[in-house]
Amino acid sequence: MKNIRNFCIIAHIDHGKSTLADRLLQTTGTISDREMKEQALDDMDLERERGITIKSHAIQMDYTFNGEDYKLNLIDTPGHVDFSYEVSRSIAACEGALLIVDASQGIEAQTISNLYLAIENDLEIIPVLNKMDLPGAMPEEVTDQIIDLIGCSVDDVIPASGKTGLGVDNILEAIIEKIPAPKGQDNAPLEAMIFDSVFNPFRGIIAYFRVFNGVIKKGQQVKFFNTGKTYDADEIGVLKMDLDPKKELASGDVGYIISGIKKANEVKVGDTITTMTNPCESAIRGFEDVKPMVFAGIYPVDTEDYEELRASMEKLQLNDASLVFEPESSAALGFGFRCGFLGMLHMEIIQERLEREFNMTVITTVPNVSYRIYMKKDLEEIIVNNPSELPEPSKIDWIEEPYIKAQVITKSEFVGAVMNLCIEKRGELTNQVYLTQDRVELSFLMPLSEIVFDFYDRLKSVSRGYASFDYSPTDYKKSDLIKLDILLNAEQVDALSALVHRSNAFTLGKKICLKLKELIPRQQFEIPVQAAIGAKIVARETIKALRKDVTAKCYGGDITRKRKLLEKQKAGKKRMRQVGRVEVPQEAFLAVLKLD
Amino acid sequence: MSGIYIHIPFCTKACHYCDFHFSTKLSNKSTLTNAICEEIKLRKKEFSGAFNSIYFGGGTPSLLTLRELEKIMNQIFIYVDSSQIQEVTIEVNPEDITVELLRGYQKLGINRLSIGVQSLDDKILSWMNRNHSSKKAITAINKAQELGIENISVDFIYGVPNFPKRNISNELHQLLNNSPFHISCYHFTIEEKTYFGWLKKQEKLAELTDLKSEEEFKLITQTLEQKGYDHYEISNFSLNGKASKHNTNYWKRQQYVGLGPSAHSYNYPIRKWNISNNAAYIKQLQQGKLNQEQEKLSSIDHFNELIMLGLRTKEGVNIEEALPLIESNQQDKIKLKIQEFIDDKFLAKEGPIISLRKEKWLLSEYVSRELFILN
Ligand SMILES: Nc1nc2c(ncn2[C@@H]2O[C@H](COP(=O)(O)OP(=O)(O)O)[C@@H](O)[C@H]2O)c(=O)[nH]1
Ligand code: SF4
Ligand SMILES: [Mg+2]
Repeated sequence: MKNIRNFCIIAHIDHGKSTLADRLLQTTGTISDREMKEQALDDMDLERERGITIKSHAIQMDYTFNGEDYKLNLIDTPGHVDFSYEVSRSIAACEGALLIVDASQGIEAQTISNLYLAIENDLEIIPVLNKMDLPGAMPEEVTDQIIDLIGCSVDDVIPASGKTGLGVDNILEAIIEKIPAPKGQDNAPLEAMIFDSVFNPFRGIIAYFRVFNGVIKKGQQVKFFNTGKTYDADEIGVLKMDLDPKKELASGDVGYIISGIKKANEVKVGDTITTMTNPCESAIRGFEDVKPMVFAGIYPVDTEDYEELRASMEKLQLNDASLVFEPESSAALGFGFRCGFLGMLHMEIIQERLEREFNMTVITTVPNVSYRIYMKKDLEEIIVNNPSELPEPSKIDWIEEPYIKAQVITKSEFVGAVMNLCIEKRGELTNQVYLTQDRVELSFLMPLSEIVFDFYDRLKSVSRGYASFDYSPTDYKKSDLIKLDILLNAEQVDALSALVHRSNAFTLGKKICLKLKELIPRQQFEIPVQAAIGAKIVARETIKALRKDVTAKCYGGDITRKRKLLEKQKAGKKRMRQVGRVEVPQEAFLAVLKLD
Repeated sequence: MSGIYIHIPFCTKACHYCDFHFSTKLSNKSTLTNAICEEIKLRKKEFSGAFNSIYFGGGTPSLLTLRELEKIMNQIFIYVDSSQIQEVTIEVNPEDITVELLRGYQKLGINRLSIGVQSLDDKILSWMNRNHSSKKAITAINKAQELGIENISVDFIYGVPNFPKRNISNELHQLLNNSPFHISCYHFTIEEKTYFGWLKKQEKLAELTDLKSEEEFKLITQTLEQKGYDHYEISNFSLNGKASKHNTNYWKRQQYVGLGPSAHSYNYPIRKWNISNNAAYIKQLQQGKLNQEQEKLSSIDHFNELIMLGLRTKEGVNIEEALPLIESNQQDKIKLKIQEFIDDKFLAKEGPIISLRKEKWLLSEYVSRELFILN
């Protein structure tokens, strides 16, 4: 145990976490130069293409230092706020963390919140100043920021470059010298914490865990503390580039278990594994049943694909236990599913994976948060995850919506613009701190629903990209919300309804109508697009009827080409959904997210 | 009935809107003529049908000498019975017309001229890079009529952007002074691989709004119908029953044999086409071969073409002939769609015939697409 080091990497997106991890894998010979492909740990196509880590990954590296053999377990964590619970469990599985900061960018919001999580878990922090090879690197300034933040000394900060390999040996040395070896009692009852799981089509669910106390042996009967389910440990082992089976794993080890689990939702991140024969007394603390934050309907473009969509979602859920869904039906779209997501990125990822991995073209309806409705009668409380299920307004006493604590870090020149944006989004400034002369951290209390709308894009544009954003949920608060309905061709389209703040309703209605007018192609008849609150129309646009759609000539040499062109155009229309008599393109359903 | 099309791929200069296959390298003319004759020999088996029309199109067939034309026609008449041919058309550029040339055409049995007038506004002609003036066009028509060539078709372009003050009505009336038997009115289009296409990409040129197009289309239709013209296809009007026999064959999906570079041929269920390159075409035929690309139409393709072509014409589509080409569950869907278009006053139905109402002709491709079946 004294030669084990468990660590994770904390970094803002694009600060070089994956690249540096690649260098560590190469230097320790975990992966040969021949096998090396960039971002080796991100194995989903989507992860590589987008350059983001969606799932946690773990890998064991062997390293000899001063004549001693060490096992270094790197736990790579997702870098997006949507997955902050997974990140917190990965952090809890480690004794140390590399804090990677891009020397040309400095500290960002995401870095700070994860850093605090690591400090809270008593992790040893090793600060790394990355991308030193860049001409724009500002080592002194960023080092100062780091010192301010974690109170280390200048010498603790390791200058490095994932690109040139600078500092990689120093990082490995610091991991061994500074990060404490795990503590734990091999003779105590087994206590191992699950920090992630993946689905393998041949092996079923593979859960990743960290042993805190006791020993786990192959073939043993184990129990998952929070779900109460029991399994046989058919196979256990450590994670190299492939699975490496072992007979037993002891305190301090990081490994995997395969136990014939078929359903992803039986494996909950943060759950405790113990043995049947000698169970531990209590679960490892910090377990939470993660709750979805954002809800949206997912519908097949072609109604006939409903069953296929269900099968695809079930398969996807094997890989992603945080996806929840239940059947629902919409007057406009027919049968589909109401899905809960961890956040907006999670929602996008699900939609994209359905397309790529299952070839399912789907319509995602306007996302919303979970509302609490208090009825006049008996003050009954109702949870509403779908605006079209909102009870009759006259029967509602009040409505509450979830709020978040938001942090934005930006350059001082953009403070005004960012503040205006957050106030427009019903935010309330709670704190303002100058991190350096030029960088400011702004804290807000704001409704979660506002970031579901176009918040990220707006933030990016008002700060010209120089703002980072992080949030955590707080409480529910009373809000003056009303349901904004959209009518196409005089028929209400439930999939386009949204709950919005009364003060925004008119402007929003106008903008949504304009956007829909832009996105819905003209058809053979005129299509009115209206926004309504109750029976009252608050905005209206008209999609004019199409007048010309023909080319002048069609003689002997034109026929084949023209037929093929029309066929191709018709095939392109398959991504549209028929709502009443109106053909609505997929992207129009998310129009409200892209208002300018 | 079947038709023979001969593509003459030469022009003196390129009109800015045109994406037909042609070359300005006129020195190849005589070798190409020989190659076409070789092609005719090679494909002699294909001339066994009942042919009623020969059509020289292009390009600019009026660039051929009378001898070159004669050579091609003689070669055709070795295999085709000339007494069955009712219509022999040649597309001519007003710039090329001389009395001598016209007399020569008459001797060869050419009995129909298609004259590329396009516009009678010189500003528009030069903007489009046409090589003739409006005056030349009128003179050409006059000369032909004086020589007794009555069956004249003129091409006219409307929907031209950038000329909001264009007086279409005035131009039409000038043309109508001569009462040509046939007028083809084409809406201006911007094709990708043309100079105008390039301008469009640079955002320096855009199509007319569809409202404006519709306005011009209505003006033309009304003017010509008042003068007794029969609007028998989206872009075609005829007087005295002189609809183009050749083009009508296309729309009725009759057999056609296309000769020369880029020409298409059709004989159900095969459509095939020659290479769109003069030098490569000549080379092939000098080696005594012809490499054609081809497609075999499935019954769905056949259905789609019946719809697409039928909806462009006054005659419409016989839906009872078309529907059996597709599966019965698809038939049900299409019938519903058809009913919807009938209710919306897009389609008219008489017995088994559906046709697009004339006021909706400008939406023919929209309607076709809706009624298409995907393979
Ligand atoms: N110049 C330079 N670029 C780097 C370095 N490390 C990473 N990058 C680049 O920065 C981008 C983000 O790196 P990545 O490892 O994917 O960051 P992650 O999002 O934190 O995993 C990529 O384009 C890398 O090639 C470095 O040390 N120097
Ligand atoms: S003359 Fe006819 S074929 Fe030649 S470029 Fe002009 S439009 Fe095209
Ligand atoms: Mg990464």
